[in-house]
Amino acid sequence: MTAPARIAAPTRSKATAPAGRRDPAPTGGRHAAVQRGRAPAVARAYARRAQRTGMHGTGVHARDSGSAETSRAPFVMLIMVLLAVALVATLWLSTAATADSYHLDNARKVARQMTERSESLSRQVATLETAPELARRARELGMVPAGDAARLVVRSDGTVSLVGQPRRATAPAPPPAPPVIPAPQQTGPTSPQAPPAQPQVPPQPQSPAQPQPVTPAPAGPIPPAGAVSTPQIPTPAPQAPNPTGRT
Amino acid sequence: MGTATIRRPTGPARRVRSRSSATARHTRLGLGRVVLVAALVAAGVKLAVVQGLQSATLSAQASKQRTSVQLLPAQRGTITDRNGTPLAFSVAAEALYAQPNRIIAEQRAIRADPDARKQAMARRVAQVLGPAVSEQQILDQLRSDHQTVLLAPLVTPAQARAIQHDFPEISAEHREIRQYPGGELASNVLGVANWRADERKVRGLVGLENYDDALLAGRDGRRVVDTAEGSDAVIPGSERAERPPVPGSGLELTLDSDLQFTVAQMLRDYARKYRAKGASAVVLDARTAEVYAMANEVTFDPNNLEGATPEMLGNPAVSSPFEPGSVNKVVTAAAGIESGVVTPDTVLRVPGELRVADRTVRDAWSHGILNLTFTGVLARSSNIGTLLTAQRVGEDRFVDLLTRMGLGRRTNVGLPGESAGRVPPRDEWSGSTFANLPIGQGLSMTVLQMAGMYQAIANDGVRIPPRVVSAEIAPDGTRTLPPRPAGIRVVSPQTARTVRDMLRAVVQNEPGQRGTAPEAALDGYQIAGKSGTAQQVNPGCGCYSNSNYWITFAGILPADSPRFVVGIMLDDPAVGSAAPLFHQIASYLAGRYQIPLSPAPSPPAVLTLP
Repeated sequence: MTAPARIAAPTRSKATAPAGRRDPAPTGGRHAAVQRGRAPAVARAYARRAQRTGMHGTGVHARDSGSAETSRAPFVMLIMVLLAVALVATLWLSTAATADSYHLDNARKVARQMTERSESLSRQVATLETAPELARRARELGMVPAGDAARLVVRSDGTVSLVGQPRRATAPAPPPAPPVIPAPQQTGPTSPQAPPAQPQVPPQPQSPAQPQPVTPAPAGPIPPAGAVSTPQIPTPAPQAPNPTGRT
Repeated sequence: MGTATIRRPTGPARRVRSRSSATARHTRLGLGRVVLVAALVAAGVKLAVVQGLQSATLSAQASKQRTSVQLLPAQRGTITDRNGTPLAFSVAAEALYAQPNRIIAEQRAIRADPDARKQAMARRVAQVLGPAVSEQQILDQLRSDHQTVLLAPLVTPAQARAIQHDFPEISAEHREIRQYPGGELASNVLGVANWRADERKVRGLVGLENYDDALLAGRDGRRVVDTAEGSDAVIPGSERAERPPVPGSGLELTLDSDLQFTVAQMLRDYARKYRAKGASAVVLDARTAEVYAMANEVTFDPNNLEGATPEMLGNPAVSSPFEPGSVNKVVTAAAGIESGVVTPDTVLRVPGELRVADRTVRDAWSHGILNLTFTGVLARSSNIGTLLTAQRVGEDRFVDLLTRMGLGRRTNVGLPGESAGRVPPRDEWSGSTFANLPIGQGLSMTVLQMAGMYQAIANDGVRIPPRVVSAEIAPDGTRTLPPRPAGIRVVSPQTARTVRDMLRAVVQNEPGQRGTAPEAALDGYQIAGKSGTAQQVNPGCGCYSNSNYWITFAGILPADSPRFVVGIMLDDPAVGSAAPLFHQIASYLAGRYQIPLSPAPSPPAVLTLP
């Protein structure tokens, strides 16, 4: 890519070489050569260019080129300084960005830990405030369901009347018998609502994901029981049923 | 240059010397030129090869060294009840893997004992994960010669980090755990979702989790980044091809988890007390038909699927139709009142038995000729009185009303596996069909459909299809209400009110004028309801059994200003009535929702005339 640019410089110098001997005079040399008497057409061309660039008269031209030489040095310096500053700034910025990316990584890590903690805590809260858990704890505290409530009704004339019979809430009947007619193969994860034998320890914050591994997914979704609705009614049987509905 | 030498005045000897040096210089120049050109050509050829021929391979290799694709998992939506209590939600987790062969190779490379490393590894894993895992089991896995072994399927990210900090050769993979804090609470409605290894995602297995899976799951995102070698630090500005994850939407159900729990508990206790084979109950809002509770006796814990049978995973309240028995008499009653062939006070002469086509129908109790008011026919659940009324109504009007009550069609409540029940089409009717349908035999419905019929009566004759999802919560928190199903005018408001008033007599307990279900009455509230007993089909003979029954009850609380409709079905219990269970549920409903007392008790109705 850079090759053509590098080639360009020698080409130009080669092109100018036949125009005459190399003059050691630096920048103004070409214009001096013009004064020394060039072909008139070339001289005219230089004059035109001088006119275009706003310089009148060759004398002025020569003096100006000298002062341009002196005024160009600070400019070059400025550019160099700018370049240097830009270079340093780029280096510094990219270093800072890299450093920041590690900071960011750390911050993300902290944020993730916080999220996990909040997740774990809100999960505990959710578990503790579910109805089954509340009911279990109430039972542990010896509370019993209230049963039918009696109500006092204040009538518009200020009299109070009792609706229903206030009764003492009694302990519920002992846990109902386990299912007598379970599904044949049912081996009872749905134990009756007998309170758990040992009090469940509330999930510890550091191990919320434990201990239940989810059973591996079966190959495909299990169709819900009864998804295929099998009409349970026989089409009107030949021997007509004889419903003697009891109610 | 040549010109410069010529200009110099030089002697012959010098000329010779300079000429030979010039030749040498020429040679060197030519040689240099050739070397340079050759180098340039070589460079050019190499450039062409690298940039042209091998460019794809090389750039792929280069990007492989630094590019990594990161999966941005989408969080599955949360399911809450109507009060925002979470019923199902997801948490992030990790699965821990190890490669036994790699451990051996690495340890041998540093001249260490691989087995000691494995023992230390197993000890540390067991220490972090607690008693849920066995150290020996992990060690056995590590000593196996499998390519990759799964050490722990689900651990918290914190635990995974703790283990990986000590043993970087253990790799972790993103997982997601679906949590059901309520355990069995509403599990038949919610269903369950679990991790699918092939999709690397949690997917619904049954229930709502499966039915609304597309909505809940969201869409995983991914991004391609350059990472610094050997770490996860992302090189800034290298993120590209980013597709952000779209979290799943949440669902807000119409269920009330407290009510759901209580109804489920009451139902289970009652069903077990009377050894029912199964039981289902539904509580609907009388005005909006939102499902406040839907309970089944057989249920499962979605947090632990081990031992759960397909029967337990189902939702019989919407998937298992049954014959409703006398509960269905409300259709005849509404049709009779609507068409004007009877009024509540119409007196019917009810004989002890009635012949219809080839068969004889009797009442549940034997009697001679009775003078029953039409209210009495319902309250005492007289089959013969109902059939006499149905004959006056006519088949057409009766079938029309059955259809408008939503029988024989799915309610589209928004739950999977819903059954439509069965109503025999007219062309299949035999002579005795019209002697069966009015008293609730020969057709089937789900508990939800049964409650839906009474919801129409409770809601002044307009039946609203029930539903279980009240809103979809988008990831940004906006609530989308699913379109409200249009109500279906079943009977006129006047008819609905009249039928409701008649049904109050079912629970009345006046001397000599006793309804069939006084146990369902609740002090302070007017209760309208209907009990039912239906004979089950004996699969042996294809005929109706005389020992197995479906016991049903449907009721409205309170009858004067309906708030809730309760439907109950017990499969072959050792008890003849579900009214006490209705009483329990109604009593809890009245307290929980602070339902105002009815202004007056139900006025006593005359059922039997002398």
